[in-house]
Amino acid sequence: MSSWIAWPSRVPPEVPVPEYNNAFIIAAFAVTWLAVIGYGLHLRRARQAAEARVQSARSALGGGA
Amino acid sequence: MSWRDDWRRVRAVALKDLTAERRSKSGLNAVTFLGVLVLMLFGFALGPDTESLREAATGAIWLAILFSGVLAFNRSYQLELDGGALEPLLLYPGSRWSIFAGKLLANLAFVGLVELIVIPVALVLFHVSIPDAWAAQLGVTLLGTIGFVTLGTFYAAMSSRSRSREVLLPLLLFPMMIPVLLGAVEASTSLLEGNVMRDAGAWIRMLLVYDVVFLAAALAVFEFVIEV
Amino acid sequence: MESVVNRAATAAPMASREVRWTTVGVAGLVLLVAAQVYGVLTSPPDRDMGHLQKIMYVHVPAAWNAMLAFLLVALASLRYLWKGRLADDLLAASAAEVGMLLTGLTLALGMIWGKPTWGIWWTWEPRLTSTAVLFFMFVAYLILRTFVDDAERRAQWSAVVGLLGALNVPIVYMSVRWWRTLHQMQSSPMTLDSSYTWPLRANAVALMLLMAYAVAHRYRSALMTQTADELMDRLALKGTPGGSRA
Repeated sequence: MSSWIAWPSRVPPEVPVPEYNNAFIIAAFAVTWLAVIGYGLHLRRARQAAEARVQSARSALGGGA
Repeated sequence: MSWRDDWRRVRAVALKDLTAERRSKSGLNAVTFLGVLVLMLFGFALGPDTESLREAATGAIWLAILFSGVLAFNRSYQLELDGGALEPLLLYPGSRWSIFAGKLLANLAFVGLVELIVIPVALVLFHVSIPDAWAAQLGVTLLGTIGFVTLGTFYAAMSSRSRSREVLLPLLLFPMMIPVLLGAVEASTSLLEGNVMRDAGAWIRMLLVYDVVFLAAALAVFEFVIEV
Repeated sequence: MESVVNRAATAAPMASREVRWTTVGVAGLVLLVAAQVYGVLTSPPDRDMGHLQKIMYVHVPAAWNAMLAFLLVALASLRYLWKGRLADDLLAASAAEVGMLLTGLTLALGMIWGKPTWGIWWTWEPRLTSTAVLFFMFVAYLILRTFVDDAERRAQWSAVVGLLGALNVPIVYMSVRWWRTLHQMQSSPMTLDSSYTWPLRANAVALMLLMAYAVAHRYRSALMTQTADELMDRLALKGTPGGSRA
């Protein structure tokens, strides 16, 4: 991937960029997004459980607020 | 005056715990035996090669102490919980920290007795000769033990009164023990080898700081733990 | 205790606060996407690591924010011990949950980064090792909470555990660093080229916004559950449901 804007590169042009397995980069970003989305789902589940509990408490008290 | 009262309370709690332990004795024997057993298992796991055994000796000793000692701390509150004696103990006038200090002293004596058996056995099993700097070695052991017993006694006040206490105590305690383990093992190893590069003095100072910090912290917040 | 009930009963200000936090969350999400795209597309390959350097944009922000979460746990715990409000305990618990996720993420990303650069999945490097210890302390904290039923006792105990854990973090870091340097393993000082700093900062800020949103969201759910439990308790005790307007 070459820079699409002029950017001060740390690599002198004659030195080849070391080749590494890009799968690791993809894996890193994938894991991050998995964590973000997974925790988002967990947040939603926790909120739904909390709301259900508030509802049941309200109805147990008789008719709600 | 009040200082003397506090000390009398501390001593009373410590003596009470030690007397209960002395009368039953089953706890001490079982814990000591477990410590020796852990050492045996380490010997089998590391193989019969004398050199590798000797290198791993200090680490094995400390892990044996941690794994056996952790069983002692819950016991220290168990007697009172079984007899329903914790609430009366709390009702006595005086500061809460004296209860902690008393239990701490009793547990120190207990773990010290376990070490009195486990360490000589380890020296024999792992072919380690008594080092020249045995006095410094004892000091390191004492410092490490104080750190271990302080936090062990402290966390056991919680774990012994919660569900699945057997799991909870090591889970809380062992992550906190990493500096103690590192400091004690490194200091002991460097003293054993007479290796100046590893600088036992720095580790001893680290252990000292650790002990002071957590002793002060535990004494300060113990009432929050025991009151509820 | 009373304040929890009253606060939840006054729903109107909570709703507007909810909207504000949602804004923070959306902003964090948008900024995270933008910062990642910006970082991946613009930063030049590193001399030694090549494009692998880009893992830094997710790994380092996760580590920084994990420290921030732990600080939040310690502060909320301290405030709980000081003021005795159960809400502070719930805040500490929410931060601990997010912190556990972030430390876990940091460890996973560190491994993914370490394998291709160093050839090993794990190294006993001080920062990595301290993060692992931090992870275990978060886990122990959360497990302690599940093992204690009484709310007051749970709050008191976990606040103390959180505080002692916070005391331990610098000691662990120092001791592990010593341990490594004494074993002649040179530590690598991170001198960051200026072309990497801005994408890194943007990513860190984005993750921080997301973290704030997550903690706030989790905290409010915990408050709601707490309120509902208290109402149920009063009902079970046949007391007058004072806090509610039933």
